[in-house]
Amino acid sequence: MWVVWIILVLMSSETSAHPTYVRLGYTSCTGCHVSSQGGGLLTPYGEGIATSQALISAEPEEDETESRYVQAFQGRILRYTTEEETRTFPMQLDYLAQFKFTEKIWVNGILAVAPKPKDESPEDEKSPYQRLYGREVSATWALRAEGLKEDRLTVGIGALPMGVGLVDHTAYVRQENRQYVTDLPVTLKYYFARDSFFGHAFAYLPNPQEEEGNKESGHGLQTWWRPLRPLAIGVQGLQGETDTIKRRQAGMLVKTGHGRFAYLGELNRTWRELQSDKSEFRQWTWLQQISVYPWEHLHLYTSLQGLERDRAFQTRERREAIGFEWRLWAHITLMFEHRVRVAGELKEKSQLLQLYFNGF
Amino acid sequence: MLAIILLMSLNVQAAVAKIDFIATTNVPGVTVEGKASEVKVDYQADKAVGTVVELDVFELETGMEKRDQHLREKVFAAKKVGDAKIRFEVVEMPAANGELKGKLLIKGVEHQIHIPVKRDGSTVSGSTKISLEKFSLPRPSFMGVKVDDAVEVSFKITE
Repeated sequence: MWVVWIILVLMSSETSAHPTYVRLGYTSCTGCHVSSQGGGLLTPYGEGIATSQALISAEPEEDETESRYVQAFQGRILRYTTEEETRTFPMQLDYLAQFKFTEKIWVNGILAVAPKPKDESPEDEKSPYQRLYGREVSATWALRAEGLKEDRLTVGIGALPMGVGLVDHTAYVRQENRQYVTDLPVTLKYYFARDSFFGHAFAYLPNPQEEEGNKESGHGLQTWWRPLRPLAIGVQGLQGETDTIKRRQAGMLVKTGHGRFAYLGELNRTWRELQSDKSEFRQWTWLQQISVYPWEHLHLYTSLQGLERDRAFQTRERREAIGFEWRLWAHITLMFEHRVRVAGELKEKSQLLQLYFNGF
Repeated sequence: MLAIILLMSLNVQAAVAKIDFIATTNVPGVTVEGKASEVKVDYQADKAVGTVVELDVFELETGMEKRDQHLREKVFAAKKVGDAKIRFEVVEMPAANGELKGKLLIKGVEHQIHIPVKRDGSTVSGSTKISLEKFSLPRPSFMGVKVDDAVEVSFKITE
């Protein structure tokens, strides 16, 4: 159960990343986010954009003073409804911080509290501090940052730079691709950006926080080519290994948009080999999302995600969703998603209503 | 006769210019891209010299309303339509691919500029870098992100 909750929390880890902002010419994340993967702490410019794009918008105040220590909280309350049950619970509470030693060297940290499991037995009950874990503990060295050229080296615990980097609902594809293996290994990441391409190369080792079966080592690459300003086409690949399984993943990505419209797509093929008997199985995962912004503060979207797995695991399912993100204020976003999961004869409907806070 | 003159003048106004600009900044990952897509001009491929392209800064769009407002107010100090215009007049046009010479006037400051152009039938296109400082325009900044002095401007005029 603990693992399930950790997965749920990880599903929410990219909530504030906006790959759909490609429609405004932002193909990479570093302009608005401290992290080269997006999400989490915002740069002063990102704060300014968030402030000016909200329903209750304001002219951001220019602050020339450079702060060495930046911090924020993010949290969310989630209401989950299925045909059997309705639950409202705190989903996420994170403390985020960045400390800059110099203009080029800084450390990032995200300290998270995992939510209390719904059916936790009294003997397994943990105090809040026992639920604390580091979602990110990393150091970054900005080797170069001039014009459109950027190089960064990051080492530490953090999410792998895979996937199109969507909000919450994308986590389905992300989760199915890694299949219970940790998403927070100890990683060495190299971020690069040039005039028309950018991406990450990475190598990773198991996170000591993880349980034995989840510990994976590997390496990978995700790179994007930007032939036109509002279009980025990417490829990604990963090779990983745990004590029990080897996996190889290859995928294609696209994000594009114009004016008030955006499109995101992802297609992945994964090959897995069981270490015990060398048997293999394969899977496809895919994702498509169409977004419309009738106003800058309101994001309407519809998405289709799917999974197909062969051999003994014979699985074929898809998840359709329609939803919105409404940025009410610079730091508060209301999100709703209606989902239909279809797996064989099974058809399951659910609704997610979330109030997300990111700020201080 | 009057109808013919009117028709001729309408025909002269039929050409359309599309103007794009890209401004890089001091922050990697942040560039500002904008355009004016439907600028009417009196361009004729065989009589290009003297062609004037004129647009109001309210015709410039960057895809984000707040950014458009900053562009108008912080760069051009324009509160309403008519406060600031950009005017370009062709002085010399090459017969084929080559260098176009013209006068660019922005808010009372005029400079002669040379633009490498490509001519393809009735279409002419080209791009050049314009220095904001040269035209006494401030480099806009927003939350620590400052636009570089040289802004790349490209255009395409089709008769």
